[in-house]
Amino acid sequence: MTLSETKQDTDRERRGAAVPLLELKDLRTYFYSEEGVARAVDGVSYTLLEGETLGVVGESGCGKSVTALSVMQLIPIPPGKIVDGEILFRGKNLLELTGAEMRKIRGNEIAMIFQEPMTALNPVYTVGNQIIETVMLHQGLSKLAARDRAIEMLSKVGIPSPESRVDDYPHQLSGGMRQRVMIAMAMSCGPSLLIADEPSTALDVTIQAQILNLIAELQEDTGMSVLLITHDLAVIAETADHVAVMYAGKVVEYAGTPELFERPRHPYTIGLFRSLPDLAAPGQRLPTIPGVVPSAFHFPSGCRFRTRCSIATDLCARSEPPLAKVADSTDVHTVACHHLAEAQTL
Amino acid sequence: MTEPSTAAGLGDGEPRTYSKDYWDLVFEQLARRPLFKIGMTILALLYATAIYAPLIANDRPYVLEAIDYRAYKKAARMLGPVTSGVLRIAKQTEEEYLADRGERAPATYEGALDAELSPAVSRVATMLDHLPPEDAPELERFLGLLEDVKAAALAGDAATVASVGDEAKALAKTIRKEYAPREEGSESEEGKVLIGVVSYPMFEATSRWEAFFMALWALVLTWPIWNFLINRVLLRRDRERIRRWRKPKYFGTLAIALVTSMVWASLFGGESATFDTAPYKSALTKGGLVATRVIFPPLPIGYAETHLAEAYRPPTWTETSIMDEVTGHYVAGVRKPKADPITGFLPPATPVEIRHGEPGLNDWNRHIAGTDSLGRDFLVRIAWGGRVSLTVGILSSALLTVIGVIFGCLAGFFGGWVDIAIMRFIEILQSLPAMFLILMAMAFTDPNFIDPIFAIVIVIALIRWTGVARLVRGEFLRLREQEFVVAARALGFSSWRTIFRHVLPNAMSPVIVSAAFAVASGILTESVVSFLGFGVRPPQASWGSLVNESKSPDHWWIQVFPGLLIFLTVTCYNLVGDAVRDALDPKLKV
Repeated sequence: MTLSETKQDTDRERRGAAVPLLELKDLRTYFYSEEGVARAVDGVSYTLLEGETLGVVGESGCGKSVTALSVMQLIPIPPGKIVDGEILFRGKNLLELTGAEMRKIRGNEIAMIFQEPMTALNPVYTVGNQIIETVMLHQGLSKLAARDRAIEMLSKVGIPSPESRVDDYPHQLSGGMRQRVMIAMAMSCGPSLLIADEPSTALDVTIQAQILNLIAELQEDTGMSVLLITHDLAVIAETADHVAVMYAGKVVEYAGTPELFERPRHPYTIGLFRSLPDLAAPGQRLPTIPGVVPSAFHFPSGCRFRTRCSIATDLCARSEPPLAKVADSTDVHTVACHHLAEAQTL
Repeated sequence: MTEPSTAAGLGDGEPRTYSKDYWDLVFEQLARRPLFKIGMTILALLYATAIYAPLIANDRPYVLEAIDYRAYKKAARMLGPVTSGVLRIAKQTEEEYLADRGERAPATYEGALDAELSPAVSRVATMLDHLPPEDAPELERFLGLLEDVKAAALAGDAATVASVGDEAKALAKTIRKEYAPREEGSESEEGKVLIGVVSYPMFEATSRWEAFFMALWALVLTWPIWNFLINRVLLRRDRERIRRWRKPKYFGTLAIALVTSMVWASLFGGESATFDTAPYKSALTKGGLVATRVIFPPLPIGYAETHLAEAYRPPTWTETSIMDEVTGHYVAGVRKPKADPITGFLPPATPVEIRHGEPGLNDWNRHIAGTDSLGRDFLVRIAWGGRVSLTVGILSSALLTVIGVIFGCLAGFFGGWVDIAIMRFIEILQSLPAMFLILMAMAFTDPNFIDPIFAIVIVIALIRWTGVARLVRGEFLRLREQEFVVAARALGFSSWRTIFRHVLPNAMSPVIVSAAFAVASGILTESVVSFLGFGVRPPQASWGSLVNESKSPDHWWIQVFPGLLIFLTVTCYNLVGDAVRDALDPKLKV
């Protein structure tokens, strides 16, 4: 655990500056279909500081990925639409940019890596070609210089004999190698924000660790920020400085990683932690959160978690709890729950 | 956790001397397929036949060294009249000329003199061509006198005009008498012995574009040799250099062909002739031209040259084709005439006229593929007809694929109202009977405005692109959901770049196959259109229109030979298309 410890030290030093790189303010992304309106992201706000890693965690369908795609403005329109909110990147609202301005930011300042390394690389081009194209487009390098850059990036992400691998096709590489190529491609233009949408989910456990370490190392080298989207709490504990817990299109809790892991406040977060397997008490059934995630077409009124919450009251059904600062926390810790005190007894 | 992620153990780690790039893999795949090689070879030869049709089958000789007695005699006879023509103008003053100048006459006095002088120059040139150099001074003196007349007339010196003019007239008379041609074998000492004039009628009629394709195809057909020499000798099998030289090689080939066509144009004039008929053979047969040396192409018959007495003659290597040289009757087979049993009357027939340079009447190679209703040699027409069919096939396929791919990309990638609009338009187009649409469009095209061949190409492409568009759209709908498309956009690529560089190459496999089929259907459509009289106009031929020359089973050669060629072309395109599709798909090779 030495890496995480040193990392947190350096991060604390950095936080002195604490310049926000990315701020989401009440972002709402809806999908319109014949069945109605799916409110996939419904009022998400969080802040990502320069140089830090923000983990976004939540169940499938809670809007994590749609939030990330909204930041990149890669929501398919129609049926999707960003109906409200602001995405401030270095204080600039990305939603007000033209298509051409946004293209200059994508891949250059904000890069993204995807969950499925099997399908995220174009099968008809060599991996080198795909990096070369990106670099030529954004950095205006010549083809030869771009090829050198591609080889350099491939060696940086730990691909052996990059001089020959650069001419390989994606199908000639293993899953882990492909994810490394994806990272090399995303990093090739030196972005200041890397959005990693479940980068390790499709990989086996040893490769997962390697990939996450690689991202952490690259982050240390370049000082970029990382928006890490995952449903894996272990991954969050390993790499994130702050955590945003999402449920049904909303952020329900936001805190520093140590703080959240020590004292989760929201009933949903508490439930999540409780459903982790406990190595100390094997042989027992895992506790689960009862019920299912509500459909994005019909969210319950008031607090969206109330249908699955054991301490829900009438108040929860009537009014939606705002994301409020927790009084006795040392760091920034906000929770959206009416019954914080009761939640501690869970 | 702190272990550095060099991932040394992840790759196969084997050192590789070189890595194959995409085209290395593609060529390797293609080289492994014998059917591809066979198909390509046959297609290359078919296209060679089409491109070299003027060299293979033509009634123009390659080289002709001949005395044109008629032209020479006419030139000698005309020297007097052309002198009078010059003098008629020269004897007027400039003012007089301008005063009663006709409406079409040259605008200036000098222009009028030049116009009268130029026939004299060309007549003298014709004569000089046929005469040895020692006879030249007298003729040149004659031209000099005419020039003097012109100079004097311009100076307004009427006296000199008169005196020199008389001298020129006298000289013209002398030349006519003394320079009369002496026919070969004639005993008299009178006149001049003429020498043959060398000309290259076939090459002179070949346009620079034909020369370009001929040179290009010569390089293509010999490509294995060039490629071997360049790669092994010049580049010493260094794969890196071979790869870098790939583009220069292709562009070099084009450049050599272009240079050849320019040299050709400067050597032979590079006129664009229609090739349908040339006067050489009949002039040689009738004796107007007397050849001392003549080299004809292997099939010395023009594609529009008719031998009416030989209409529907079966291939000359069959027994039913033998004809009697004197009566012109067939000797065997169903067309052997039967005498009336009572009167013994035989219907008369015209004996076949054997023209200069043609094989004998019953030689096996006179009409290898028989003749059509006008006695035109069918093999020659097939060779020339391939030009139209293969051009229409490949151009229409290329054009409709481009149109279809563009619309399919737009519909599939953008979706929404773009998709709806394009798809409804496609459905409307597909619900109309394509053949009638094509015929209607052809009926409204003016053949003087646009060559019917290109009109067919455009019309076929504009009507048949819908299938390709639907294919591409389907592929796009499938690929659009793939993560690499989102990834491409996440890397900041524009929509156009994403469509054409990232999605389209993944969607090309079915398109390539359908393009190969489109060549076939283009050839067939052209044949139907030509048959109905809306396509190429006679005497031009295409394979399709040749099939329709006769529907009688007696005339089997009419349907069999062009039909076989269409079948061969279509099959080869399908074989090649199949192989190329597989080779271009990187997922299929490891």
